[in-house]
Amino acid sequence: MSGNPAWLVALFGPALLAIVSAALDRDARRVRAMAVGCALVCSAAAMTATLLPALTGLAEQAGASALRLDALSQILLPLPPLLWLITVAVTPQAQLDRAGLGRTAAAAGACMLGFLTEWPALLAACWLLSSAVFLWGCSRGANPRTIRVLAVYHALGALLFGAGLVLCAIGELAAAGRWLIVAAVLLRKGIVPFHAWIPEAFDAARIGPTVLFSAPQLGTYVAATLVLPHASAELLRVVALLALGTSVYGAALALVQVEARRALGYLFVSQSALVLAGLDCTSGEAVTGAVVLWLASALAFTGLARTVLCLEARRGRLRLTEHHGGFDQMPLLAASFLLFGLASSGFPGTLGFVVQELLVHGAVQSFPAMGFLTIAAASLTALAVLRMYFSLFCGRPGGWVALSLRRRESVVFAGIALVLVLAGMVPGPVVRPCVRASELLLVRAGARAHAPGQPALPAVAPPRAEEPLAR
Amino acid sequence: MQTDVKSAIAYATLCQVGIIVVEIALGLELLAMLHLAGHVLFRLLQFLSAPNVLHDLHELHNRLGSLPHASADRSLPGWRRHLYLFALERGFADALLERVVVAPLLFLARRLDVLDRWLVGAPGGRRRDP
Repeated sequence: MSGNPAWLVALFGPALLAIVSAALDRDARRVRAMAVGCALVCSAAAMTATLLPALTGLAEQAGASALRLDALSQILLPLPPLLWLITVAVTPQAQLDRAGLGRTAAAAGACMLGFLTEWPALLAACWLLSSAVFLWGCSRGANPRTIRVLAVYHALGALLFGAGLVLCAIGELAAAGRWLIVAAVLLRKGIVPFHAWIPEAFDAARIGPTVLFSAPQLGTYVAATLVLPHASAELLRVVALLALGTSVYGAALALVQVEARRALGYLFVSQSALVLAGLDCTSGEAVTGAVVLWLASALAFTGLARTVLCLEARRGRLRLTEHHGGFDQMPLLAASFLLFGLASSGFPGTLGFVVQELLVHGAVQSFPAMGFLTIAAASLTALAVLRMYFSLFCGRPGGWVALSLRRRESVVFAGIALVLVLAGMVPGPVVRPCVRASELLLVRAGARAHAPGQPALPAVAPPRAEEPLAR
Repeated sequence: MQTDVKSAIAYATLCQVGIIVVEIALGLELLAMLHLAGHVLFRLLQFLSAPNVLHDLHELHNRLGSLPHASADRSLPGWRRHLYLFALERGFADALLERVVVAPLLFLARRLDVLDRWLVGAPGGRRRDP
């Protein structure tokens, strides 16, 4: 590890400081203020890696060093600290607890460390740490059955991942090891038929830890780093089909839920599966679309989950079988909910539209059925979001109780909305780094295709430099 | 043939969009662009003013005490009335879509939801349909 020490301290120091502060300080509000400051510093350090990778001292490290910064890590690194910042800034006062603030910092730190490495042992450590922090966070307030379910799924995922790494290290059994790693990734990401824990976690456990654990998608990163470069075409095809099926399945089931939390869980299942499906394509545009979706869905979905939590803090448990009204009392929250939801389904003018454009256009080239299923998933997602919106915000005049947002909530929601809309209007600065990341993934896929004993893949269509979106 | 002003405007829009696509296919992009811009402005005006027209019509009905003209469908012979109804309901496409696509999809999704809940032992594995 020979990165710039100042940058590494700026990246990981704030997380450690927030953990120590949560352990020592007894005032939860002060701990929150400290956590917000730490998350801001950490986000700034992570953005440095995206904008000025040379400053990190890790840009040229590859393979030999435990930490390195490739094109994919550059764009993913700001995700965990930004989600950490959103989480601590918007958590309602009544739900603040010091241990939770410490866990949030630990989850973000584990995820950042994971995004900076391709060493299997270090990735496994980050995988275990983030799972442990998630289970610990969910254990507060959840019923024993839910905790048991989550523990079984995650223990099984960790076992499969560990066994897969061991088999890959043996050499002759590497192919079987990769299948086990894929199974672990499917479990962690909640791909059908291993998806049932995600709606359960959203419904019966705590949304905050669940979003912070799931939205950065460390499992997808593991797949892109350890599996994609060596996977056989059959393995990729199986993963792509399962992921595509899951994206439609999740969106369809979100349509029939009666609990807002559970609908949210299924929407996340759908979105995260689409990222994995796009990464398994051989078209540059589809892979770029998947990488942009990785960023867009993390931001939009975290915003969506936070709006539901804000609404729950004011109204209690939300059911979708009745109309709650209240648009006139909290127009910003309602508009944010709608925007975040529609951004997930490719609404024009948002980053989601860029994603759909790239994914559908690219997918049709390499895997025609994927184009149709992507559109089907987006349509069902939009229907589910609109159904939720009408139920949660429309249909009844507002009461006399003041439900307006607090200032920090308004700032966070407006900030996320601004990023999604600005990136949708001027997608170049977001798409360009994603094109570089997709080129890296395709080069790895190309290396796999030319490896002895591997079936050749269809011709890789590199992303076109003159693509209007990338300008 | 449409009985409400918004449906009439919607069908007129479809017609114009078709013509614009033909213009693009013929390579007349500039004409298509001008056509599109003019169409957008004019149709927006129509959609925004449609409620006023309806309001005026209702006012007229109130003052006359009855509809200005009797509905034509009762005076039509049987097969023409059915045809008129078929056209009026847009070939019953909405009802067909509801029965053939939407209802089976929702039924399947609800059954799968019950299965998902059963998988994790959640209460509500036999919950009532929303």
